Amino acid sequence: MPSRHQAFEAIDWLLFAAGGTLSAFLLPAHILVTVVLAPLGFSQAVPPGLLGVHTLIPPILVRVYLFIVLGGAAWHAMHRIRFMLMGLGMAHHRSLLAGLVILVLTVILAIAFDLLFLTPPHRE
Amino acid sequence: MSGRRVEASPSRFWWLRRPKYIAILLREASSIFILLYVIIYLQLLSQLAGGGPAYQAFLKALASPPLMALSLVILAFALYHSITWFMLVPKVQPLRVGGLRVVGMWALALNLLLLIIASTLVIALILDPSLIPLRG
Repeated sequence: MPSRHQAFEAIDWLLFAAGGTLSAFLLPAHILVTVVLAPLGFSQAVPPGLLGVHTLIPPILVRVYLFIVLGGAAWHAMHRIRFMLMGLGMAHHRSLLAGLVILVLTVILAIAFDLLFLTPPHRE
Repeated sequence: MSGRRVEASPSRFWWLRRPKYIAILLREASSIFILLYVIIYLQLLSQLAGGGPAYQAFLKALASPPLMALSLVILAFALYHSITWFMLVPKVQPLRVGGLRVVGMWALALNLLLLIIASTLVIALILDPSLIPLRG
């Protein structure tokens, strides 16, 4: 039976790969539209489903989609940051880094869950 | 021989030894900018929940030259992440299309084609509600 550490490493690598793939295919367009074009007035920064506009895609699917993309990207990033710091001389603090990664990811995922599923939609 | 084990302790500046190592470190560092984007977007969603004026004020702040420059840097690193990921993954998990193994530049080209298709779908999802309306 795998130890708790081995189980964490297995899940971590799985979500790292999934998050990396999602980020590679989806994030460039997300970033272009939401933090480059939207502030310049060329687009909106959030999908219409979050603005209470009815479209063919149900709002709950938009929220699930955003949670998976943001959560996957955050997981991928934190995994890489952990190993980058270990490669830059912090390998002796492996457990501390793993703990910090879990803490930061928990906070990010909790905030994302709250904003996407517990906060009522904003209507313009 | 004393039999004493001596563990090599690599320098924390190993990445300065070769240009290729700098590229590897930049690839890993791209994750910092991806995380930064996630935080900015969550902040944007938070402002949206706070109401229209707060949301518009945040968008206006993002349009300021320093934050726009940061957004463009984030975009550049995200694209760097995409390209390096497309080059890395086929080495770990060979890509197969219809029984044929896709390698090297062909794998990169195929992934870039998929990136264009995925980007088009993302832009359609966010950009224009009139593309997929049920009612006004």
